[in-house]
Amino acid sequence: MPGKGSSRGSGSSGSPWNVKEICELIDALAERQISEFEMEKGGVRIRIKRGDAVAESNSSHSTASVLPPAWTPPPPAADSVPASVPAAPPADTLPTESTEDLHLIKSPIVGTFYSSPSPSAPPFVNVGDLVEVGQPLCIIEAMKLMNEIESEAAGEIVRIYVENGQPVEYGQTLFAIRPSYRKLTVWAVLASPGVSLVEGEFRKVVGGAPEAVD
Amino acid sequence: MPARGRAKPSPTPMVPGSTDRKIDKLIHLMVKNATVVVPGPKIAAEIGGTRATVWKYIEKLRALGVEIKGHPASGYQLKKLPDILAPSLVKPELGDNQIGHRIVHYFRADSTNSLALEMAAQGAAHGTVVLAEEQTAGRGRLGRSWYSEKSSGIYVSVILRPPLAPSAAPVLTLMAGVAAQHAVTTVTGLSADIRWPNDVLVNGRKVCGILTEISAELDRLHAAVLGFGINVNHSKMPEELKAIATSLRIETGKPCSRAQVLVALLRELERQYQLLLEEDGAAIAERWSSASSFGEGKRVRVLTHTGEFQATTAGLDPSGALRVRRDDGRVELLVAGEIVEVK
Repeated sequence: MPGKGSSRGSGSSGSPWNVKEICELIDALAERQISEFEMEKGGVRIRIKRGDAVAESNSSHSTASVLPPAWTPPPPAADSVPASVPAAPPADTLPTESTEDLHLIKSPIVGTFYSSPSPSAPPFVNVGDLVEVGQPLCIIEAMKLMNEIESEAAGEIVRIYVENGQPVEYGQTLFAIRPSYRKLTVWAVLASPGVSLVEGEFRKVVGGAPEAVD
Repeated sequence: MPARGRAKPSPTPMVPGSTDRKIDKLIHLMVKNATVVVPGPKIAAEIGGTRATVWKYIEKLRALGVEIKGHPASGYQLKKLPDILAPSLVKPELGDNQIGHRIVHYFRADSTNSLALEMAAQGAAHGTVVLAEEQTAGRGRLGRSWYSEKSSGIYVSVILRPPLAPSAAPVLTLMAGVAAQHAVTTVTGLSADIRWPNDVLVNGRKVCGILTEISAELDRLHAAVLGFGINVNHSKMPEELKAIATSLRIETGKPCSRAQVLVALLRELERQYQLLLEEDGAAIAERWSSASSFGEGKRVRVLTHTGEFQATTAGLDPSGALRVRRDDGRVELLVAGEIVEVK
């Protein structure tokens, strides 16, 4: 669910931008498949760039000091990263990418896993499907309490760990989703004295609160 | 209890499709003045509208089966008290019940649970109640439907925002069953049983089914929606349901006030919910155990997704899961699935 969660970092007094606003902006951009965006408000210019899933996995932008209000584009994004990136693995095998890069959906309750809304209906999702944030993935039932699990990430279902009708434990991994993008970089040039460039990464931007905006 | 269980106050806009406040006021006015002729202009003033509006709403009520006599010169007279679960009639009976402090009423809805889940997602407060006189797509567990004959049953969903972890939420279903059984028993005097986890049975047949749905993240429960379908005034059940379902009217041989059953249900739900907050889930499991004959020593057929077997029930664990002893002596803890009594 967008727009909530931790807000450490900016978002407090003084700044014309707050984290919530930035998150909403990012959601809106993601929805429209916009990969780069720049906007100025109250003397602070913010630039949001969606990292290419693999090519930008190195996040070593140097925090060059710039003088406000001039906008200096950040250094070219990690062009130096070797391009020897394996092609997407076959969907039915465990992806070679580390699970750190995958968004794992876990069960919030002990219960029975149902892959479809009713026994005669097709499954909510299959491996290889592209899902949106909020899209139903499965139902977990405990004592006639039905918990429809929604996707917290937009991306591709790369693995389904459980079978229809199987019992699941609390916290058990149900799905692995490869987010449609993994990294998002936000730069903001602050006009206020003392701060020149703020660079941060939104790591879990899809469907969740940003983990770091500093 | 921590305040986080209470939902943040939310604006209460008119919910699209729900019953017009004017018609709610009109029902209230007619019921309050049941034996007298209420002048058209008085009605117009009370509900806020013109005499033409009044006529339109009177016609709407008539279409819903409310008998209203029109006196050309003087006004309108209610011939028979309508058994409509209008918020204006139900709310005064609820006192300071948190559950039901806001009632959204529909003459017709697809599913009160679906509506309640949507409202919950939009921030509807703890205790919001969604009612329908008729459901066109009443839902049961796993895509099953719930027979929702117009104005014969109670189709109601309750939004709760309990300060519980999702993993502790299943006990809410037992709580719902205990409350429904209590409502049936106190209003009708019938003896009712609860089949694990929460089917309410009279003479072995179902009078109330409950579908609970939650919206949660891994460690955070956003809302729980308890949906009740209670068969009250069905004079007969459809052929295909006769063997497994019944109504309060069929069992007592006389019609029963739906409003009374509803009020008893919401009040008892409030009491059980307070008990849950003040004590814990185990207290609810205990209540359930003393209210049901299914907890201990009942011979049952266990139906799970992967198959079925016979067993004898051996008590609830504190979370509300049912222990069953198989014939080879192995004890299993049932978290999901259904049981049916073996006779």
